[in-house]
Amino acid sequence: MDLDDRLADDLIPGRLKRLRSYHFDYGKKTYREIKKLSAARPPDKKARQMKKLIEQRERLRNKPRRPRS
Amino acid sequence: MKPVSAFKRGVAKVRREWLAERYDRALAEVARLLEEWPDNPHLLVMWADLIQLQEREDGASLDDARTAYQRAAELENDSPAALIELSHFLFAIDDDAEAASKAFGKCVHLCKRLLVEALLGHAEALRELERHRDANAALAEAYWLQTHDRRNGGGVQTEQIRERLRELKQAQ
Repeated sequence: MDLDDRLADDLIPGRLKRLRSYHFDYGKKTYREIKKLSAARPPDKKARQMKKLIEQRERLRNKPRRPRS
Repeated sequence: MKPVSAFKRGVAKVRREWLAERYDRALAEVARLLEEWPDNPHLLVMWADLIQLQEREDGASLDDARTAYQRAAELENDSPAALIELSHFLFAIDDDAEAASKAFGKCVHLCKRLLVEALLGHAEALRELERHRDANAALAEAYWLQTHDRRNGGGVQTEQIRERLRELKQAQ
């Protein structure tokens, strides 16, 4: 399944769900919906925080795939 | 001294577990390696990365992860790798754009400084190989970076680069 169509709760690891910037009520939104909300004017703060958690997880998940010198 | 091969084997195992998304096993292996090579910045960064990927809520905390990044950044001093991870952590996990911006700014400055040093060395080697055009390109890039980094403020190194560019022009 495309990353954009996946639910935030499936993309945010359990450990990060303890953070204040994790919002349970946004957990069932897709990454696409969250990106759209965080790009709105004015930006949706909860969506912006959730987007950062998803992107941090994706960045770390893919870290060993990056070329090393 | 402990053999480097054992370290490399351990890191390769971590990488395999990480790629297979078995983050708990990857973390356990890094923890084992840290017992043998405590305060290794590379291992500290991997350990902190993996804490954030854990599903279970027990074990080391996100505060422990931040401390590990800070420790690695202190130990590495001039190397920006740990500082880049700490900056991402401040931005995404701490949700502190102000602190992240400062930390990323420091990373950018460090990276530019290292790149200038590498370009200057590369230019010297290319010059010795009589690849003057390539040497000139490396020096020009170093000069651009040096003069566009506000934290550098010109100085001795900029003058040295100008001097090398003049010398190279004469040699061509």
